Amino acid sequence: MPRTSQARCRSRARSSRGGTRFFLHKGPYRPDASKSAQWNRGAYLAEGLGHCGACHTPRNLAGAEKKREAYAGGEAEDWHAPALNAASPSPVPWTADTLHTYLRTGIAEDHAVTAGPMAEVLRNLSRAPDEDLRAIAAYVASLDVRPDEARAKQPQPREANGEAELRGKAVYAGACGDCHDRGRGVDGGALPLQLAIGLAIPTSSNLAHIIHEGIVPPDGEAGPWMPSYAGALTEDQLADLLDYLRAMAGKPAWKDARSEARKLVSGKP
Amino acid sequence: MITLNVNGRAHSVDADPETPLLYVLRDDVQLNGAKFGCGLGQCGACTVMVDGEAIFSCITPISVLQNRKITTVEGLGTAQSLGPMQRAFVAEQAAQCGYCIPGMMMRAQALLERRPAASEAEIRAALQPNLCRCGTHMRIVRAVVQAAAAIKGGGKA
Amino acid sequence: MKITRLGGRQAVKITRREFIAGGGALVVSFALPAPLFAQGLPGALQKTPMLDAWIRVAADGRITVFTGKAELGQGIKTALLQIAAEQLALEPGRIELVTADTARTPNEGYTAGSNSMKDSGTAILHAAAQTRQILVAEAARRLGAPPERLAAQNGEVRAEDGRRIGYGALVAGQTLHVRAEPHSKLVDPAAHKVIGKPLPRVDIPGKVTGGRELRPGSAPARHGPRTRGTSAKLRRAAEIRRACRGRENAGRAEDPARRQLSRRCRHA
Repeated sequence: MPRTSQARCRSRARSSRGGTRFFLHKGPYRPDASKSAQWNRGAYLAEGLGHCGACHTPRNLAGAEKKREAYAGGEAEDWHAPALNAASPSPVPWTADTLHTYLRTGIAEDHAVTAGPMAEVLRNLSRAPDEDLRAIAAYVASLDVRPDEARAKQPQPREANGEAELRGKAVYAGACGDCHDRGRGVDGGALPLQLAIGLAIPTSSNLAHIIHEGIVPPDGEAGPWMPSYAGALTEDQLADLLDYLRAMAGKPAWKDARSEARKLVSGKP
Repeated sequence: MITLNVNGRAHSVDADPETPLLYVLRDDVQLNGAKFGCGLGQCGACTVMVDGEAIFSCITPISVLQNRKITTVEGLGTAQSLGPMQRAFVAEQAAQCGYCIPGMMMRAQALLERRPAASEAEIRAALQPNLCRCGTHMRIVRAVVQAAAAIKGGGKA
Repeated sequence: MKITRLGGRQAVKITRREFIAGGGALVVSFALPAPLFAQGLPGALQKTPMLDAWIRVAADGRITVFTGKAELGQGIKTALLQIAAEQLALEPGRIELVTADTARTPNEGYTAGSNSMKDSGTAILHAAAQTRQILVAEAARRLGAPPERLAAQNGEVRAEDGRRIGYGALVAGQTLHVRAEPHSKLVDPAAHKVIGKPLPRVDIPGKVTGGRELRPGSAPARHGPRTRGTSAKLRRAAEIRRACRGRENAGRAEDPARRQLSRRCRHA
């Protein structure tokens, strides 16, 4: 496993030394005989070197991962790391195949492109052997234990109501719709946003980051690009847009849209 | 009707609020400096400043721009009276086809107004959203470095 | 065939009918004096042999130079200006250079392949030099002085004793509708004042001030080719886009106007 993701895990551990002393699980990985070799390999990588739970599992007050809520969602560097278990908010459920494609390339059909801290993780993971990525994908896919019928139920977009959402709808029409309504696979097209996980997670933080900062590959590298709207949208306009996009996801309004917009645009807490 | 403040002047525009600023600048306000390169916020040829920050005018609807200060390359100076950024670009002969240039200048202007002491590395990083197909990059960077010195020195080249 | 004299050169106008009646190129070359056949002319003069296709001198002394090539940012508008200025013994600022105008400039085909200086530049080099020679010869005739004792400088021809005639006066009433010759009296490169010296690009000031150095209507529209439109057109385009967004509307709308909008979705 490439070095950088290890460094990230080590620094997290360092920041919660007390937690490490009390909560560190020591000893070699113990395979689950009821599962395949690939699954076990994936579990070994994800739990050990990959340490996916470091971001994707909520932490207790001591800073340790809550074992009983493994992969129920966490945070990393002011971004939300979505739940990967039965609480997965992904509008289109992940499969081992789509997860593998995502880990390899940072993008999968009907899923948002990677962004934020995960983008950096994947830049490293893309160099791992393919069978390791398949193994991790198989393991992570298995975490969402919901039966297929339960996973298939998608919330319907709700109509924009209230002034903020209606203002946001106007912003969307002028600033976002031209690309995002085309859908992928056409020139200039981007993911229809009802499919974007950023609209479905409990916080507006990720979406606010993406709109404000854009999605930009590292200097000199190729990669998906979304323009930044910093400077174009005021704090209020960004918050209105976040509210409208949440309606597009068919979910109840975020409580933190105003504060996230203020934090990013004005730099105030 | 929407009123836009462009280069210090109010313009009353009869356009759909969804209309991207780029179209209004070129078609209604008759300011052709900002260019259409991609219409997707991917090339930067449309870059102008709003309240001192560089934005892609091709993906910014005029509905969000009321009561905000819009600045285009025409606002940096005229042929008879070049501003420091323009003077620097002429001095360094920083243009080939010129299509990317107004966008480059506006992105650079936004940087230097916020950070007059920007280093060359910061200038390069700031210009990343603006593409140049002709290969004028080195001259553009030199011009911005020169403009930075001029602006720091009080705007006199 | 119409022959006039200007500066000792024969200006010949051959009609197309005369040319065709001649039965072909070879016949024409036998039937007419050698300089009249455009063979072996340098650069694009070969295809466009008349001097006034490239250089015009107005009665008020204004000089216009024409090229069929386009300025794309490669700098030819400036470089061709330098060539013309050098051979015409003028400050570059006194020349108006007209580029790529189907109504006014020679047809030089594509601007591509690094051919502009080789073809257009060579033509202008010789056309400008020969224009200068014609003007000096005409001045020699009027001043009664040998051409070698005259100097072309800053838009006029001067004799040693100080008498001078401006280019405009020298051409007054006449055209430069003469064929180019294969050889020209070029300015000695050792004496170059403009060629080979740095000259700021003449197109850059316009490009950094949002001026009209780029071709009119140079920004294509977002949704298909369209020259400068109005916001009304954009409103219409926005209507179509909105109708196309809800794909379920296509074909099923009650309102015939909306159905028509939906039909256009395939092309939106």
